[in-house]
Amino acid sequence: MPLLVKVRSFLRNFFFSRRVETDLDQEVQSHLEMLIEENIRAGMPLKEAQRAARIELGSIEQVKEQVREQRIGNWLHSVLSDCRFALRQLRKSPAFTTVAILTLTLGIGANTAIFSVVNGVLIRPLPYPESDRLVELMRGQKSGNDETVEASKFLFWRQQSRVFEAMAAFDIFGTGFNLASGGQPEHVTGMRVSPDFFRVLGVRPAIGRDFTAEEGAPGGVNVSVISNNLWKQQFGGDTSVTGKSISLNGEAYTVVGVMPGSFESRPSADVWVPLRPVFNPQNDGGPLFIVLGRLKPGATLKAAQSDMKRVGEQFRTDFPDFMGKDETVTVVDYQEHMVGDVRRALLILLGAVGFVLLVACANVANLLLSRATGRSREMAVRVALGAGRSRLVRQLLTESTMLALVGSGLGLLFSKWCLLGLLQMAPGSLPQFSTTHIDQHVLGFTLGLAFLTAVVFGLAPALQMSGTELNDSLQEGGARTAGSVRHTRLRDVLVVMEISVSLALLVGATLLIRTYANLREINPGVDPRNVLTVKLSLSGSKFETTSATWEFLRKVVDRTESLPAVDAAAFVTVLPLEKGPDQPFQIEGLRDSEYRDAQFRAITPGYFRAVGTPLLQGRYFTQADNAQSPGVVIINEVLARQYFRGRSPIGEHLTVMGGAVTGTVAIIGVAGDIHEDGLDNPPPPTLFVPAAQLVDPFTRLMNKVVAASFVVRAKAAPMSIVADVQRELLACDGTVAAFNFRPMESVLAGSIVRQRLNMLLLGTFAAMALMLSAVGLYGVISYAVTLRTHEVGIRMALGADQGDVLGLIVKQGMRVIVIGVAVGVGLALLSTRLISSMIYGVRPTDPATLGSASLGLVVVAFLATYIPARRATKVDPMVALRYE
Amino acid sequence: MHGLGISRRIQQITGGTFAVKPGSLFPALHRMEEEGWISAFWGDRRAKYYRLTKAGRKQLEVETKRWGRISWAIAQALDAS
Repeated sequence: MPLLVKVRSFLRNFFFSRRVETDLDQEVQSHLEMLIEENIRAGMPLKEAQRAARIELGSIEQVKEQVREQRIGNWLHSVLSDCRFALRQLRKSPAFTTVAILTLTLGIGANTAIFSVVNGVLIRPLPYPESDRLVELMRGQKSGNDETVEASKFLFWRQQSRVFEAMAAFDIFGTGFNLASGGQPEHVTGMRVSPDFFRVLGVRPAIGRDFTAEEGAPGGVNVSVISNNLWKQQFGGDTSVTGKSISLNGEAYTVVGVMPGSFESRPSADVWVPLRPVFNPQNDGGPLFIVLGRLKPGATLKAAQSDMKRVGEQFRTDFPDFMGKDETVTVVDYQEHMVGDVRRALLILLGAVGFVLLVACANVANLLLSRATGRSREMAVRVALGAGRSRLVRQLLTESTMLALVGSGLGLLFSKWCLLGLLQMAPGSLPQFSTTHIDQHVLGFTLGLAFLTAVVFGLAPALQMSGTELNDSLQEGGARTAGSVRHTRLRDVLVVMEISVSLALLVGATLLIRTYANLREINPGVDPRNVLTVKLSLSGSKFETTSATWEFLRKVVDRTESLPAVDAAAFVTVLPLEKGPDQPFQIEGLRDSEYRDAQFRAITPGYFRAVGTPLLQGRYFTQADNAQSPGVVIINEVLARQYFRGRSPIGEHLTVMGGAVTGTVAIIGVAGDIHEDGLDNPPPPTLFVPAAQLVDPFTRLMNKVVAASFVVRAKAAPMSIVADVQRELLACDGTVAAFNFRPMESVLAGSIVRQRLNMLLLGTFAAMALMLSAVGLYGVISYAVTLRTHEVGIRMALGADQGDVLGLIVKQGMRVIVIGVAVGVGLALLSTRLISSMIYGVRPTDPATLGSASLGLVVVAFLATYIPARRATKVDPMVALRYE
Repeated sequence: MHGLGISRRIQQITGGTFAVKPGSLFPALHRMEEEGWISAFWGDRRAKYYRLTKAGRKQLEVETKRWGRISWAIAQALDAS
């Protein structure tokens, strides 16, 4: 019952507020009249009676306000009226409102965009059920974890471990397949996976089943699981697809299952076929697989680590020759490994973009402060009329919040656009990046940001404004000289902060720009000009032997080299800079017989000419280095320097373990170093062997696990010969689909795409911060000029010339700039240490970088000071003196 | 009874100890009205009249009892010292 009455009162107050108001008005009025009557009856004259009545009643407006504050739902009413009033105020000064909202849009939008990426990559769990139980198993080496694992170790681990519900291995490179589809062969992405692969990820096929243990054992039949995409494309979404077959690499594979459309594996694939690892430590092809495990429910990462340590030691005891002295088994959280070094970079970017928002807030606070001065009289009047301090602060915060909300709304739109740009700038450079979008976490983040910024930029001006002494403001009467010192001080502090934060960002950006430039200047070891690269999947029954593969490669090379626009052509197992599989090797007669890993490339004779890598000693491979002739190898300079220290390695012998080539092979040449492991890593030791001399099982294995790369040195722009090369390839074998035609330049650029992204992002943030602080500085100086117009007029009337006046104003600006730069250099020195792992070839405290960034900032800041300062000199003394 | 009447009556009863000013009177009246303890209507003399409702009477009893307890307690405390 009482609740009902209250609700009725609330509704009445809310919907019939006008009637309630008139009612109150009349009541107070009648009260007054009755008081007067009473006084007259007491014998007072009319005037006296009215006066006495008014004194007893007090301030009519204050009484009414007190009644209003008692009303149920008063808070809602006042918030709404605050909002209405705020909107009116903001509309009244469109220039201020536009600048403030634009500033906030930039700041909040950039933050939302970066947070979306952080959310997508770091926070959002992997799209698998209970993905926190997913781990990756690797070989721990002295130099760090190596995620490639030998088939034998995988099989041993799977059998001996006790903490996993399931463990699976898959091809690291995912060579893909040639799908016979209509007339032309088509390349589809694909992986070979051990039977438990889908069970480890916890996803079941939408149609049919996944692989059985028999299908994953040697001698199993050809079966496949296909993606939702391929199912639609090849079978038109036919639900009775199981049992039908697709032709991969010229062989029929029965489709046993179709994965759901939401399933994505990484690397992404359209076809999965069984991997059939064989236990043979002596000759299993080396580390070529990635091993994933799903922990049993309740099993911890720690437990898995200690269990796998035991399993690793067991392996070493059983097969001491096949596990290095320092090698261990490491177990890491799958998502954490996927994210890896991206985490740090992303968090740094988030911090940087947070700085941009801070600068934006300082700017809006500055704008609000200059408005505050203009409104101090308004505030004083409102205090005089009975508004409390807290009421004023609330009103001003409402205004800030409105600004922030509009800014974040627009910022959200802006960030969507930013995200699109980001995705285009760096496709696939981050795990889960492509599926990054704005979800409820991001929306919550943006909303939180809006309120936070409103408080950050709104509170200081609000407190300051409401704290003005009533009498001062009323008496100041809008005078622009006295009493405003405090405002100026706070504004100077804000601008100093903006400048120092901008400088720190600018220094960071400069470091990343120099990093990128340094990486671009590194000699990759190949000459990328006019080189075309293309990949071919050679797996399948046609390419089971070295001689068949070699025959095909030779034919393609011969036909391509006979094209008039081509200088040289060659095959290589893995392109330069795209780290390929390692192979262990042992140098004959070297005392330290511990085996070492080296990058391993099987090539055709023209390779070094095609990629433009110099031969430093010895000779190239020739057609005569074939299966019948003695085994030969070319090593790179790093390997030569590391193991032969000044001696000529030519004529020495080494053994490639893992059984790629038989017996010991003779070193016949030393090639220049190629950055096989990316530009930012030093060139690794590398072995090159003739593709014709590989043993059959190894050729078959390589053909299965990596797509062969074909490199063609053209006489003109590389992409101009794509059609010709394509035609020659199809002429040699109509079932092999060439894919990924790229100029070598893009292969190089691809290896530093992340550094490029970091540079572009931090550069953009620094530019935004710089622009915002220039605007802030401009605002402060313009304001100072307005404040001092009167003073300038007097000075000029007394004989100061324009130069004196200019100097006076500029000096004020320069003081702020100098302090800002000093603080900024300190901030930069503190913060650039964080990015030391992201930069290359330049120290985080590089004085030249600090100097040039500071200089750039000072120039911009000086301009922002100079332009308004010039205005002061244009003042006509007469006008200035009359001002106010 | 209208607002001024209430004010004057209180003044009278308490022998001038409590002079309820409009600044306290009206907010209190409006709050009680919103709580449903009193109801208001416009009388013939263009004045707003207030009347105790049933809920108001109940509330009055509650408040009176509470006040009785408090004043008794305070009196005890003062006597004891």
